[in-house]
Amino acid sequence: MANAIETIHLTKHYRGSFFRLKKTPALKDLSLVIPEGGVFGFLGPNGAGKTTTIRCLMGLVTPTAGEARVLDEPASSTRVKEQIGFLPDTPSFAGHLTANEFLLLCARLFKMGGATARQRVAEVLEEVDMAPHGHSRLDGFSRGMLQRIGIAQAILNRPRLLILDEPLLGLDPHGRDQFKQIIRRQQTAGATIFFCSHILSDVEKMCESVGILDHGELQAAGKLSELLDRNGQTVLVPAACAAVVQELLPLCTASQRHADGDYLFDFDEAGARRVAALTPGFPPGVHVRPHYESLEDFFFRMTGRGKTGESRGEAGGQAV
Amino acid sequence: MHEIMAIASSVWRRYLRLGVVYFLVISALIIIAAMNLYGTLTMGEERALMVDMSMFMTTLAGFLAALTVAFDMPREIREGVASTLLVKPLGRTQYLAGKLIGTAAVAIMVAAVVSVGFFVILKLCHGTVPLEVVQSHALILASMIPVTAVALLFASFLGEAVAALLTLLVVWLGFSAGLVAKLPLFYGGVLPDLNLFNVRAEAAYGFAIGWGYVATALAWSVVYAIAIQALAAMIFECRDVK
Repeated sequence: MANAIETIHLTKHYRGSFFRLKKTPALKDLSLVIPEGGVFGFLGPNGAGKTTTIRCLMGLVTPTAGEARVLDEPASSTRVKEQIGFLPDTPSFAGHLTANEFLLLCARLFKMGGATARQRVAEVLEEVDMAPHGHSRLDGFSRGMLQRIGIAQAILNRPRLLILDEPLLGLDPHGRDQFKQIIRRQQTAGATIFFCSHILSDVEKMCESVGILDHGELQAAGKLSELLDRNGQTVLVPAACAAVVQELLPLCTASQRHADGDYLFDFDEAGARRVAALTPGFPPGVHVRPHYESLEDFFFRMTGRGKTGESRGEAGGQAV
Repeated sequence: MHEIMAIASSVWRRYLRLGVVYFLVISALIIIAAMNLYGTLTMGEERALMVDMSMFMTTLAGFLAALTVAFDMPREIREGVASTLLVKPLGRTQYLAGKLIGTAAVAIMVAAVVSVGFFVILKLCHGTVPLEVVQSHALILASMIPVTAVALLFASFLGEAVAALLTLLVVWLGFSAGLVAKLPLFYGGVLPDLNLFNVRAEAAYGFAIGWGYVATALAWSVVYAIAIQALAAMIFECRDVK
């Protein structure tokens, strides 16, 4: 199977300041391989280098060092672009054109013939629920409508690889739901989806694999099931089992007491191994379950930043 | 070629939908027609004045249309409009060529409309449209090609204000009859020799110009535009696009 995306020691420095002497690193030695098929979520805080990575992949930006390959060809190749759909983070189109005219322009760039182009444009406008606005000028569109047109132009050529930068921004709940359906349809049609988003709950639901980028460096990449499956366990202890509480308290990484008096202990992998040794002696009512951390927790751990306004044991109970 | 024409037609559409283009054409024609009222002031030379003014207004209207690319392209690059197209199977050189053809076509069209309007006014006021007047206007139309190419060159790597100012500077130097015009390789090679297209005296006072001269000037403008376009493409290929 071909690789949808491959970056080899990809590095990009931007030159800032008036005299362009100061170099700002945006990407540092990024090596990433994404095989064809599936949905890959590319995550990172603002300024992590996600958009720069995408621009390198789309041939808009020349890497300072390293190489970006898409569908096993150099990213700058014009031929490979025939098989890619791309939605930028802030879709900005030629405002003087109507939605129909703009999509027909894109279709012409994809070398579609007149009748085929018109038919395909009508199909994608229908798919993104913008058919009634086909003859309206783009400069009169709202952010959400532009986002829909952005999605329409991205799927116009039935892409083998769909690269989406913040595709859910500006969409209302109905639009987000529609977008997810479009993604599913594209995936079913065999497309590989690579998308950046800050909405981690959506990424968690839609992606099989993720990569997390921070300060231009790849912090983690792989299948979600593998990445999130290694985070110790959680033990729920009823209020009545005071002895177990005393036993577990020194071993846990976090603990909290619920309003009903029950205790919840979190253990890392080392703690979980020690708990496993104690488990046979636990009285009935003590529940031990593997702890699958959320993508959000994983994201914060990987980027080395805590959640604002949340400390250990704060959510839903009182720290012990 | 298919892609180039797609970009060119998009540029064409944009300008046709700009109200300011129509305002520019109508204003130019009103000013030209008004020259016929200066008969007494010019001691019967109102026809020469009208021809002179028509050439100036045609040049101005065309150049202003050509100059818009110096504003539009950097803005499109900054706002990400260009990148939406450049991620399609479209080379950067093709994108620039489309812009050049589209903008030059608009500039020529604007200048041509002013010219034709002037011919109608001249016919109505003085009964004839001499050949040298037609040829002089044909030369003005040809001058839109190098000016558009220069504007596009600056627009390919500079911001809109700087690109427009530098284009104006080059146009001013291009019409220079002073020291710059005496540098044979620089003037006409690096800087566009816009005096090639400036035959006001001949047109106003009825001296023959000749189609050979018109064809030579047109050929130079195309060659110069291609050379400038190649330079712009080299620069644009290297730059990062938002």
